[in-house]
Amino acid sequence: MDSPVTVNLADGRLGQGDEFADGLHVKIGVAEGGSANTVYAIASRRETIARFGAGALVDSLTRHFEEGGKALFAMRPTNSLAGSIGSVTQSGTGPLLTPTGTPTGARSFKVQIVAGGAAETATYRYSNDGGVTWSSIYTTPAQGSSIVLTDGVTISFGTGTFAAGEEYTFATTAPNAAAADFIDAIDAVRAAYNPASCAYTFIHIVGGFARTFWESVKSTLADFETARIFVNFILEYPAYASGDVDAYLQTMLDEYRLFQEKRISVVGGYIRYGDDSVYRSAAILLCANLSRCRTNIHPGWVNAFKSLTGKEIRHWTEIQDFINDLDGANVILAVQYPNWDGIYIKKDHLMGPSTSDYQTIHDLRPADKVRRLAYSKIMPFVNADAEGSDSGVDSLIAEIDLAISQAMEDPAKKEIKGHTTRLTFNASTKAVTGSIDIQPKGTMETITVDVGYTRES
Amino acid sequence: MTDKEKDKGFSVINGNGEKKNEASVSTTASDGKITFEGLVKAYGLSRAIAAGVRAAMNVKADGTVREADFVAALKKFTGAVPQ
Repeated sequence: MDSPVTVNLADGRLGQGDEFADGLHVKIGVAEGGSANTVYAIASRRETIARFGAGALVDSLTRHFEEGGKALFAMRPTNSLAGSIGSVTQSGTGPLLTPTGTPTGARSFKVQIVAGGAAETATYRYSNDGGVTWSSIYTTPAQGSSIVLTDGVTISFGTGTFAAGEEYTFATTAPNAAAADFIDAIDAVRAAYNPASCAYTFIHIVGGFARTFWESVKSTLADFETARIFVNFILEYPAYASGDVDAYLQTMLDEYRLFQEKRISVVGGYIRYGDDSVYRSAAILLCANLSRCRTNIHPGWVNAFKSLTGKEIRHWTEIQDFINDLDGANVILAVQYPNWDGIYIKKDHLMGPSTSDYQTIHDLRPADKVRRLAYSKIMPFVNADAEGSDSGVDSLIAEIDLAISQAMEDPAKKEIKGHTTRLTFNASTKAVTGSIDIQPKGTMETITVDVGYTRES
Repeated sequence: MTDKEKDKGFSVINGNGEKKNEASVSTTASDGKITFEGLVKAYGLSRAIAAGVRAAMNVKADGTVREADFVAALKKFTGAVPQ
């Protein structure tokens, strides 16, 4: 790719670390519906289900909208791992039931004999949601004949006489995507980037993966840079499965400490949202908050970003024992504050080294926004007359300054305190070089106030 | 992205475009044993997949690996599912 313009992310070693367009992001996760490796614009829960049916991506998108998240993009990877059918449980001693096929989703099947009798006389109905809803009543087929149910599942009955009320139950697992499928999806997301129609600013991978996957994602960042796409990734740490919770948290700490990349965040916290019976990653809350805040805003700002549906933080008791270590290792956690209602994001860590200016997502986003603005203004000047009245370096500086000023320094929605653009043209190399120095705004992460009496003099 | 970029400053125009310098890699060690990079090439792995496999296995200081370990790590990494 011929790329005459480079807008570097300069790290000045400060030692610190359109409003909704800045929060546009892509969620990549497993789903049953939609075409693989295709970006869909999603604006509502209804649209989510229409596009993707069911799966982890749908669950994450649904919670995103319930948490007040804005419209976004979504993609599912190829489901290279086929679904499977579990063993059949039978309530009586009638003919055996044999399910076959390639399941398209995770379902709880029930087949119920309504009227007893021989094959082709007895009747049955079936359910794919554990008996919540039922099909019409059908006549059983001739022995050995197959019946197509739904969701890719076919059944056949063995010999014998059916008894009314007998039930057969079995479950199916959904097709799944593996790490390699997710990497392919990331490549597809990068290829789909379009400044006019698909201008995302970060990518959320739905579903927890181990550190090997983080390394893999890290290696894709160079391709985004080459394509002049300025993004960061939000990944999820694998959910607790079983065993000692302290050991789980210690392993988490060990994994985080072995990884560094300032364009990647890994969310370790889990929240029970709404009426869910399971815990889901706090990345959902983080991304929903980022989707609706200015680039410099901390997504854990207490006055603005209380979880709208969060009910409980998983392992909150145990996490409190580890919280300083976890925070120090850049684990993004959900948090509850003493004597204060609600669940919040504690800190929006990036996994960069401690020497980097970019310690948090709200450190990185303003800088990337400046890069995007600068790039869009620089490109028209490529191969321009360096000393032309409307094409020279001074004009370029003015264009950049105006763009940054209008987009990020409006007093009503200021994202940076100010900036300085310095560019010079070298006639012998025909290259313009320079810098844009940004003065960041601060964030009040801790507030300590001494309250005491003072004597009137 | 590395902090070295600070030193590159803000390179605005490079008329020749960027040159990609791909470092040459040794596919075999001096004793003829296969290296990790050699297997990455032999198996045609992308850079991203190779990075994941690399993190999933031990590579000796001289860059050599046992192919069986490489294959096991490759299977483990590429087959991992979201938890």
